[in-house]
Amino acid sequence: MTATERDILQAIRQDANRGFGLLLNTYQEQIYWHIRRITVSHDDAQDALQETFVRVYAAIDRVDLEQSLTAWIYRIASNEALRQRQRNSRATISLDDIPGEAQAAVDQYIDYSDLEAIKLQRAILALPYKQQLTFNLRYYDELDYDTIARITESTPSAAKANYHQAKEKIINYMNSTL
Amino acid sequence: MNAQDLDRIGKKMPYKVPEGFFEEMPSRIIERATRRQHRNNVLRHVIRYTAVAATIALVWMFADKVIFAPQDDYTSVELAFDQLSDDDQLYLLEVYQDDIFFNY
Repeated sequence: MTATERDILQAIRQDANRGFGLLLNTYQEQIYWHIRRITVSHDDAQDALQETFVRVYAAIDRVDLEQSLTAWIYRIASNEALRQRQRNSRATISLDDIPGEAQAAVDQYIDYSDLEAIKLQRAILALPYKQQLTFNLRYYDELDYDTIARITESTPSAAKANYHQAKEKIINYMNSTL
Repeated sequence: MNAQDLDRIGKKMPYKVPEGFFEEMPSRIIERATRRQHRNNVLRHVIRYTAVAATIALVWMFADKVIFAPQDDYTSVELAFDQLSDDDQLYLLEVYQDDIFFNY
């Protein structure tokens, strides 16, 4: 557990609301983007983000001080994001939706003009879920393999192998669709 | 494309958020979390009180059957009646023989 994580837990034990505010300020933005990369839709990401922190708030007293607070929060967020994505699988916003052709499905919070960024997200979303998760946690969140292994319920070496496989698949996907 | 090209794209994403989204979220989350906790506390109390009420009801039903159950016959009343004098017995019979509650 890092010093920041300890400070947050100590603040929560002294004053639950102030401590939880500190936790939100530290994690909400990175957790939102982590969820968003899984759900794609902003509305789904917002719901999953709220549900994640509601669950964190309810269980914060039971968090194991020996475990990583970051890994615990990311794990809850990953589960919520996946649940949200599965729940809305039929109505989900896709990066394949083209503005003007399917207005009902288009998310106004996606920049469809940034083709390179769209293509990279498509490549990531085409990966098996565990590889997708591992790639995002390493590439975007820069988490170490120990923490990633805790989140994805694997081992650090398996997480490392997963990341490199994912990276290779993404490069192949990008080349095949260029 | 190779790994270097991927690094060039970097962390750029096509996703945006509404204006002021991250400023508004903490208060919304805290409100939802405290509301959920309050609801769960109420639910816990309801479950606890319902369980207590159900237990009391069961005990009452059981006690009613065991403690307040009528005797299998009127032996004790008859024994008491036998110990009365003939006059008293006659008096009681005259008074209560037409009583609707006794003859119910």
